[in-house]
Amino acid sequence: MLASWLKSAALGLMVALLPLASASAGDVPKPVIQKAKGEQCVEDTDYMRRNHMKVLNHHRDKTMHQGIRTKQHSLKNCIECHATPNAEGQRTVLGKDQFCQSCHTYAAVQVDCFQCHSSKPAGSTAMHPIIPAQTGVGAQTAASIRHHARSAAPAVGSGVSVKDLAGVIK
Amino acid sequence: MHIVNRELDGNSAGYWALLGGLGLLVLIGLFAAYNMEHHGHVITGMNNQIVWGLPHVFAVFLIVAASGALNVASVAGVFGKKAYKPLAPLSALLAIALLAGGLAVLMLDLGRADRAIITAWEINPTSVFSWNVVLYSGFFGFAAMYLWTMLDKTAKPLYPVAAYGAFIWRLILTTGTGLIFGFLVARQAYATGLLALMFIIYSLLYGTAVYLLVLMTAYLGSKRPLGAAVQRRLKNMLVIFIAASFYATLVYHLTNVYFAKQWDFERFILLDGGLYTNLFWIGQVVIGYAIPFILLAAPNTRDNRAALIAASIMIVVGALAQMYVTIIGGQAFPLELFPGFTESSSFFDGQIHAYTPSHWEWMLGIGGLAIALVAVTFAVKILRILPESLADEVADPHAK
Amino acid sequence: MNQFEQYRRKFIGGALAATGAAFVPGVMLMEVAHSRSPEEAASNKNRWGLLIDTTKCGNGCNECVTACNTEHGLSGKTGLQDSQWIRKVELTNNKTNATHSLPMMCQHCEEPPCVDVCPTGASFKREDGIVLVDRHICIGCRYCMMACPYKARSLVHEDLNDTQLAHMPRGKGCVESCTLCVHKVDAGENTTACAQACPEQAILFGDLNDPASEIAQRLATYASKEVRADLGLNTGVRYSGI
Repeated sequence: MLASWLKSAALGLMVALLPLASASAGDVPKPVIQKAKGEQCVEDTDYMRRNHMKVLNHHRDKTMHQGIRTKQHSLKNCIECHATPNAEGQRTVLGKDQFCQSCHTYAAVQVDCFQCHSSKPAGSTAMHPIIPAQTGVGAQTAASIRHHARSAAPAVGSGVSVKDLAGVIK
Repeated sequence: MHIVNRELDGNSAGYWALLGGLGLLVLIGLFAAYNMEHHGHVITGMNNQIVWGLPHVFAVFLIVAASGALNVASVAGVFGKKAYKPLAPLSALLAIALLAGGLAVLMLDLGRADRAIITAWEINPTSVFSWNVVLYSGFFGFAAMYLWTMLDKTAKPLYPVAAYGAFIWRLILTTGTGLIFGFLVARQAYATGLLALMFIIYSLLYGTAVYLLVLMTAYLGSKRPLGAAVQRRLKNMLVIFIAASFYATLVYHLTNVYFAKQWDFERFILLDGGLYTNLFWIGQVVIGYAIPFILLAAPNTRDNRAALIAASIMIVVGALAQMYVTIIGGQAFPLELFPGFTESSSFFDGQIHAYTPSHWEWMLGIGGLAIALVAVTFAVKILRILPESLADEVADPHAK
Repeated sequence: MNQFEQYRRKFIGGALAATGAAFVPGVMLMEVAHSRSPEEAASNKNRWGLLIDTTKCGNGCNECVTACNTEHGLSGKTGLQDSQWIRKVELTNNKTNATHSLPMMCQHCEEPPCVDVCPTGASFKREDGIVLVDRHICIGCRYCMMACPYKARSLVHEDLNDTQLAHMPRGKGCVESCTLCVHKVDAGENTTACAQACPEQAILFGDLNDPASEIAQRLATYASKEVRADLGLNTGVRYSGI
């Protein structure tokens, strides 16, 4: 009533500023979806986009508690296909423009999996030069290197920089 | 004469300094928790041998004291001693605050603190920790209801439900806290139901001592009158609880000393455990029981306010020593996998386990204590918890 | 040879071939009778366990420990906060000074204290007797570490920074212990890294519920013990020679 002109002015201002809002939204880089191995995913792309978390959550309980290790919905199998080489040539699903991290960074949803799960396909870290086959005096381990190099350069041979990890893993 | 509860004025520099100081300690505690979560427990002194450290000493002390702090209200509400009724609101408030502080420390110390919420639906019926999710929540509920019935006249019909409910619930809760350790069959320090009873007795002592210290601070600080009658009642309770605590401790160790298989452990605690032996005898027995008992029973000191405060502080010091010996001493002594053999391994079998708390653990533990105290300090200013006067004319039914 | 005889030869040859072919799957099935297919759940038909002959165990030998560390991507370090899933315990008799050693790991109890105390059920026993930690729901409270009579569990104290092996997820803040090489068991390999690595074959893996298995027969023939048998946990790992 009294300030009805104020209301219209505010509305007008918001409408005028709208393009500005969408312009800044355009600054967020769209996810880079690198082509994975194989012809298609285990399920429809659309289905996977909406439900991959449900699928993984359900499957993990079956694997953990019942020992059912079918490949269809297993995380390890996802990584097998979707881990693509990063800038250092290491196949991983984490890191800038890599599969899992790319979409999750765009959607601002934290990926909790890789605190425990390896982001690399099976067989890659077995060849890791840092994990020693023998225990011995002076055998440096990945853990100790990372601990000391936390704020400095990424650890040797990791293929994933600490800065990149920081975007997805806390 | 009618007792009137009134909010603390809380305008003095002293009040704001206290609030600010406690607030700062809380922030420091939260900063410690952040670091522990971010870097992992590698930055703490806890390790694979001593898995529960200083934070747990503080947390279990706060939880046990919380249960005991409610005792003052229970004496009024359950046992019908009218003289304690004016003291009851602070008792209920303190119980809530201490429990909140203890739980905060426990939950912030978790390896995956971000997952703490799943304990609400992932339940293991044989786990005391799962019971505690219900017991601690219920305790908050009952104590809050109890406080409400004391502050709001319209809630009076609920008073018996709240009073009795809180009393029984708190006994179950403290039993559960003792059984956290009592149910551990593997360790020589634990594996006894006696711990449940010990913790109930300790809770009465620690809770009353903390209550007394908070009461004294509030009344001396706000210059409200506090008469000798109230002091005497609380002092009498403390004397009985010290005697009971000493008795419980005596029975526990006496039984252990009787069993040949427990001799090594008892020798460690009572004779050659270094820090643990000192904390037991000097901390728990002398400072925690003997000196306070003498101060509170001897004719020339028992009515002395300074002696009462000193005794209460010593009881709290003794409490922390007792928790340290129980929780950390119990882990320091190695598991005996092969009786009759000396064990050695890369995983520290057969050795007394080393533990030095890091500054992060001190920060977190003290932060928890600060959370409890800042809650009380704030609440007495905004709620009508404290009587305007507890002078003898008002508080003592036998006065005049 | 007339047509009928040729036909008879073909018929008999074909019949023999068909019979042989019919037998082969049966023979193959018998060989892999104990191996589960991936979609099959673990069942209590099996109870996996170990029999460790401590008379064969060498003082100072660490092959089982090294093998376990390599298999699971553990650092192998032995500091106060480092994870050790298996360790060699050297024993000296207090009266006679006789020494012997044995490997100690999660004993995979029938009545595990760690499972009783876990608030979320993350520490659990699978149908086939393997005791595991479900790190998806582990909150890192370390109550299981307090409860274990064998000090089998370790807490991961720091970030592992993607150095985990693909088949062995493990992470900061969660508790872990010997999995009885569950990934090998489920793949049908029916052995453990430590058993494979022991140069003296002191560690024997097998199905305690199968009376025909070597482990069951040895347990039925020779004296064996559980460590801390007084606790009544009915462990899956048994020792002989202690």
